[in-house]
Amino acid sequence: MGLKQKARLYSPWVFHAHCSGCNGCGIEIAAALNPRYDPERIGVTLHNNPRHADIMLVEGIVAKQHVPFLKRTYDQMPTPKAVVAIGSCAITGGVFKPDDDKGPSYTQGGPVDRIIPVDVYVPGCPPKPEAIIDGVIKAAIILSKRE
Amino acid sequence: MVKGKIKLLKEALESSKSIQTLDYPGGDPQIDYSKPRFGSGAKYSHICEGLRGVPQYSEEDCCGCAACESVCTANTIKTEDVNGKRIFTIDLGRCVFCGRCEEECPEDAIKLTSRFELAYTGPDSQNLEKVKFERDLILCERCGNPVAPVKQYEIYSEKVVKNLGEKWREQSKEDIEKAGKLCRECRRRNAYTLNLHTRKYY
Ligand code: SF4
Ligand code: SF4
Ligand code: SF4
Repeated sequence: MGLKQKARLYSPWVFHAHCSGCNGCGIEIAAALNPRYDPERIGVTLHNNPRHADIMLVEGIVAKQHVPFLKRTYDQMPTPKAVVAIGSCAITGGVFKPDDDKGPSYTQGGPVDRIIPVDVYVPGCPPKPEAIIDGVIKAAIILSKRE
Repeated sequence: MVKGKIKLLKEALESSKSIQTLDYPGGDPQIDYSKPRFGSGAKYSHICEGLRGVPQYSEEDCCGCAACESVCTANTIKTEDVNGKRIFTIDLGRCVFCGRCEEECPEDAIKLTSRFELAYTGPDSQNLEKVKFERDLILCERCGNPVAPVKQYEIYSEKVVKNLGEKWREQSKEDIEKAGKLCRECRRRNAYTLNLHTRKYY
C-alpha cells in the first residue's frame, strides 16, 4: 500500500449530503460525529465542502428537485471518492415508496444508486451511530484500494 | 430554562471526570458493560434493552398466514400466490425496524434481534439480507383458487375445534370437512346447499 492509499485509509474526510430525508438520519449522523462515538479516532472528520471530502454520506429519498444538485456535488468531489447511502430511504425509497407496481412517490427522484454510484449501503431507519461508523470504515477500505 | 441549564452543567461536570467515548467496535455482547470501566464508567451502548435490530425469520415456525405482510410498514415483506405456492420475498434494505411484524405474528416466527451493523457493499454482497421462501397452498376443490397455506389450515382447523364448546364441536368438525377446502367465493355460493349458516348452532 502506497503512502497516498495509507493516508486515505487512515483519514477519510466525510461530507454529509442531506437529500430530502426526514432528517432522522441527519441527526444520527450528527450523533455519530460527536465525542461519544468519536470517529476522529479513526481519522474521520466532517467537512462542509465536497471539494475537500473523500466520502459522501447521502441521506434521504432524493426528491426530483434535488437530483441535479446531488450529481453536481458528486462531480465536485476529487477522485478517488466513495459514497455511502444511509438509511432505507437512500437504499430503496423506504417508507416513501409505496409499492413496486404502484410506482414511487411522485416527488421521488429515485434511490441514490440510480443517480450516482454507491459503494456502501447502511440499512436502518435511522441506522444507529455505530452502524454509520461501520459503513464509513467499509467505505474507507474501498477508498484505499482505489487509485 | 434554569433547570435545563443546571442539567447541562451537571452533564458537563460528569463528562469531565471520565472518558465518555464508547469503545468501537463494541466488543463482546456477553460482557456486562454496565460495570465501571473508565473512571466512573462509560457504558457500552451498542445493545441497550429493547433495541430493535434486524428481524429474524424462522422458516420452520412460519405457517404462511401473511399477517406480517399486511401490517408491514415499509412493504419489506411481500407475498405472491403463484402455481399453488405462496412466495415470500423479504427485502431488508427497506425495513424500518418498527417491530409490527413481531407484534402480529401468531406463530412467533419473527423476532427482532439486536443485530444492527448491517452495512453491505453491493447487490451481491454476503451481508445483503434478501430472503425468499415458499409455502404450499391448498387450492379450492371447486374452482382451483388458492384458499390458505397447508400449515395454517392444519394449525387453525385444530385450534378452532379446540376453542369451541363441547356442544358444537362435532357440528363444526363436520362443517370444516365439508367446506374447509373451498375458497371464500365458493363457500359463499354454496352456503345454502352445504348448510353452512351458523343458525344451526343455536
Ligand atoms: S431512512 Fe428513515 S430516518 Fe432516514 S431519512 Fe428516511 S425516513 Fe428519515
Ligand atoms: S405472520 Fe408469522 S406465521 Fe404469518 S406469514 Fe408472517 S412470519 Fe409466517
Ligand atoms: S420490522 Fe417493520 S418494516 Fe421491518 S419487516 Fe417488520 S413490519 Fe416490516
